[in-house]
Amino acid sequence: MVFNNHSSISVPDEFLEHKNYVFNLLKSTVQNGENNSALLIGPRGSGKTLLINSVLADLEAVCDFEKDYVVIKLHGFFQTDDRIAIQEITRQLFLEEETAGRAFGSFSENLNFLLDSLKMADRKKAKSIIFIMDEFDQFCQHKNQTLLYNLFDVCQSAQAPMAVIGLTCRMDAISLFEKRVRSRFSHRQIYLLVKPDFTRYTETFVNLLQLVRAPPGLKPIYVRSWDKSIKDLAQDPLVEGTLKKLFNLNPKLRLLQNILLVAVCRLGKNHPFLSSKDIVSAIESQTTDCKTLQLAGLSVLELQLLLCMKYLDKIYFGEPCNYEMAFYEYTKQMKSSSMQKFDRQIAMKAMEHLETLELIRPVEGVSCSKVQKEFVVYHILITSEQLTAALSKYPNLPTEVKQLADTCL
Amino acid sequence: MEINSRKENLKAEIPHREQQIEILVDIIQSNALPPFLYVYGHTSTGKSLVVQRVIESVERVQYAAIHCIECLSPRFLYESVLEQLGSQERCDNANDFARYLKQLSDTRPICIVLDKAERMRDLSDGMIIPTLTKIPEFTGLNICIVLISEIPFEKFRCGTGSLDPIQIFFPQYSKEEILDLLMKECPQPEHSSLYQTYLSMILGVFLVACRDFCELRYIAAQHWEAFMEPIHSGEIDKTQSVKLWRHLEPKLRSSLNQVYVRGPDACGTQIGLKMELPFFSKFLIIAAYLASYNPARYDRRLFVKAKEGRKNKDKGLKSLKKQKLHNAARLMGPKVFPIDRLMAIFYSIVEERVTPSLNIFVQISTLVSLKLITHTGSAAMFQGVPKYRCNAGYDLVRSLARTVNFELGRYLYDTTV
Repeated sequence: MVFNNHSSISVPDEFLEHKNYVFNLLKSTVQNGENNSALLIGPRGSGKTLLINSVLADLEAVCDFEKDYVVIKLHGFFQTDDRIAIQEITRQLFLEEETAGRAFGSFSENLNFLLDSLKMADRKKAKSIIFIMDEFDQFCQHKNQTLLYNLFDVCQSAQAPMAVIGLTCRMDAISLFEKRVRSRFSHRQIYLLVKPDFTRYTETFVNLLQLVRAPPGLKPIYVRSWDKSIKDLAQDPLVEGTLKKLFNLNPKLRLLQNILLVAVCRLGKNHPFLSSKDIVSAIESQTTDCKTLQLAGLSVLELQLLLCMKYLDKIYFGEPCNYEMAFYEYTKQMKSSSMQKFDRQIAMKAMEHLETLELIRPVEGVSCSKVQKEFVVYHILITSEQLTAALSKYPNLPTEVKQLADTCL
Repeated sequence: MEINSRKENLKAEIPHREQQIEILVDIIQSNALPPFLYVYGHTSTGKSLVVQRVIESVERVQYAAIHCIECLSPRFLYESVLEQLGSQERCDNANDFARYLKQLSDTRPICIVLDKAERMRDLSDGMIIPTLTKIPEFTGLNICIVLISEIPFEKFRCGTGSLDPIQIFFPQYSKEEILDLLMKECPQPEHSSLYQTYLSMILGVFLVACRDFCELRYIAAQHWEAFMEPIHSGEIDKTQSVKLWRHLEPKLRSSLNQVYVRGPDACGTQIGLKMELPFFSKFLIIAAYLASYNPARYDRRLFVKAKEGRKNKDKGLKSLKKQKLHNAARLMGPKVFPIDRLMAIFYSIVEERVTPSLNIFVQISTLVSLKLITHTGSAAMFQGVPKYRCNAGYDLVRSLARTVNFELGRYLYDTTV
């Protein structure tokens, strides 16, 4: 089974300019000891991390990593407060032993000590530090934004050569800063905005599937014919059509990767090449509406209750309804039918099941302990299209329920 | 080929889940694990079992399986994952967790399986799932996070940052599949054809209400003895399935409540008979019920003891009932009433003269602490008239009324008229 991971996606052409900019920024920090700070802003999956990683790789080629600079990578999800962050910084600077016996009064003291110890290593010229802060907006949630304040403060007052690069998906990241932090920030913002482009999307589709580094054990002739089959696949009108649909739905590459992985999983000895059907069914399996699938697994009673609630929702213009109302509606429907009728208790259990599946949701603000559970009001979270789709696929659906659905929806 | 034999073994072990086993084995087999898998489907459709058996069958993967009900805080989650992976470190934040994962002595790829993942959404401000899904990227390790849940993934999308998972859906078993699965657990293999007729009877009654395999298995186990009884005693021959059905059906129907709901039948009556309340307390509950479910403007008509004029006015009530049945109090739930109204109704329905004393009011607060009546509006506790709402159901109140020989029906406006 073959799957080329991230490695085959390169930084898109339109970001090369940004890349050079960031690269020069970091280079001047490392070589000339300048202080810089910048924010990379772009939506999720736009390639921020990819860009920074490729910049760092290029930098390594130009400068001496051992001697000239240190990279500290922080991540907003993991360093959830400043204490953890400073520990992590210490660790990444390999200064744990130096700080082990010391007690620090304040955060800035701690940070300055770390910076000083870097200086001591070489008195003439201090090592530059590059901070890469992923999920930058999370750092703004920290108490008093101490970490950010201190980093930017060092940056601005040129105490030690360093660069702070933040990566975030929030367009309003600057407005999250406190005033004192904002005034110390360089206000360099780099926007990475992707224009969705279908031809590039299909190119990536081909790139992801092609065997760039053929793994050992595969015959070259297979590799060649595989690559050719992938190119043909991209031309296939059926695949192209579904890809287009997928692209219009969600152009993220991550989703495409997932889908291709599912498709590639179907390969085997008897089925050595991908067919257009594999791709289409993989896309289907990852993009079908989950709620419709779930509805298909409900019992008839549960579906009837949902239909009743939907009906009440319709006649009361979206007002929430409670169990009693739904059950009353249910008994009314069942009066003239030959179907098996159920008691309140059993209908209640069905209703509770619907709640655990979160197909219906109790209205907020009504605490459940104060009201009997029969009178807790619910909003229904299913659209009539989802119900119709699920009912049309339901095996052996009683005709009464079908008729009920026709009147309700 | 080894992979194929593995798949075949698993498929033989877990029937009717071929597609899911196929895809899971392929994914877990691959050299680079995907960072995030989301497995979902109804209860007891074999999600956890399949995931666990598949991962176990792949030797080059180590795994930790956690039930999220056990995790009150992220700390429990992190520590038990680390423990299962052979690390004894204490850990209460994501940063340390990621660090310890990097330091593990065992360098095989890791699968972290989280069952009942919907429970995790509330932990640490909802950031735990985005954080976990970022671990593979952050640590650079070959880790796969597998979430197992009943609800669709869209319910997990709160805030920001979580990856898009590969979704694997486990569909509900069809009727034939359930029958087949239940047949595998036949208690007496010598009666297997009989067991099949028995099962189709059971499914005929219960499948409309419930498609949960575990529930059905429990129900099937409960009634087998009752079904076999007449056959053993020789009353009915085992070929007469119609007779057997007639014998079993009433039992099944009557047991729908006890067995399926697993509670005493018609809870309200039972509790009402068992509950020993003071005489006046019972009347207070009844009064509270009447106050909650009758509109205040009909109080005069219902409770004024003078008989004259009542007949004429009944007509008005009748037309009202026709008008809006939907808005009947029974459907909308109890209304709030001030204490004055409760006391007025109370004095009117109690036959003997009661002096308004502290005792009565103490009983009200007892009922509040029993949650039979709730006090509403906490802010207005010490100012204005205290307001209450009846919290007892119709069944309970009716059975209470019977114990004190009170005709509840006469005083309810939607039954009297």
